[in-house]
Amino acid sequence: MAAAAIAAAILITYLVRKPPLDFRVKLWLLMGLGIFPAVAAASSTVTGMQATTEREFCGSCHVMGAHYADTLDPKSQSLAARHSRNPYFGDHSCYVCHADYGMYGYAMTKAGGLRHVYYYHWGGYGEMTLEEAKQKIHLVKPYDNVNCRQCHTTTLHDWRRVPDHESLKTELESNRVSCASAGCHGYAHPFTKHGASAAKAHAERAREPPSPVRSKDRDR
Amino acid sequence: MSLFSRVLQRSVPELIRAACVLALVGLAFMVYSVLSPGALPVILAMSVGHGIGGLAVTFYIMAVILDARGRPPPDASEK
Repeated sequence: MAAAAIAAAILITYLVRKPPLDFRVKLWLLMGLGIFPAVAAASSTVTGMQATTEREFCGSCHVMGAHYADTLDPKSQSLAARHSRNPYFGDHSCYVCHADYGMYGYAMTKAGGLRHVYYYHWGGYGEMTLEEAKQKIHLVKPYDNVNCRQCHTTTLHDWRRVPDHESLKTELESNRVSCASAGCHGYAHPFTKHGASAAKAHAERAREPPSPVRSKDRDR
Repeated sequence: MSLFSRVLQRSVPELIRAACVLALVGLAFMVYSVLSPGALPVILAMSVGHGIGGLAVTFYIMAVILDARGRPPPDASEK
């Protein structure tokens, strides 16, 4: 902001005073047109990119209202809400769980975000009601278990001693079975699932008293 | 006549003034994206804002090159 203000001051001064273009003025203009705007561009890019990783940013589109509200609900036992209460996820929980990882992960995640913006403004998402959005909006590809395994390494004894983990190891690695599925750790956003079993599971989870750590969550 | 040729026809002060105005517009996009970091402001700042800023620098460099090559000064009304 300071760099932008200094650049604007230099440029407006030039436009108002219209001094002759001598060496000193050229240097000032280099600062006002090149150096300070470059600093402003870099800092605004960093600030903007950082802002796009915050949960509040994801919740700013009304179609994500239910997801956002669920993460803020201290009584919710959904996978997303429980992770959002974890300080390591905290205000960035959407990004931490949905970001692609790997060499080009950051760029690919941001490219995916551009698709969301396109769909919201020109693809009909913007006109959807929240109820319609819960029914119609889905992940573009199956959720990658690699994202869970960024934290839950699946190599510790606590994880391996669970028979289901061992028997489904191949399926989990190939994404044929999702960690966040009914019967395993539950849906991350169960209110978007419309089967009777999903609704029942969600209601049951909501009634459960919150426990700080469940045995099946201690698998890091 | 191409856009580039038309830009070259301009006098040095005109190019500098255009660069200043373009840079101010680009800065406005960037500042707005910081003050209101929504999806569109951030995208506009990083595309349109940076593009306009780049164009402003290009105009400035062209003006400096034209000035250094001893381009005749603009008519008196420009000063």
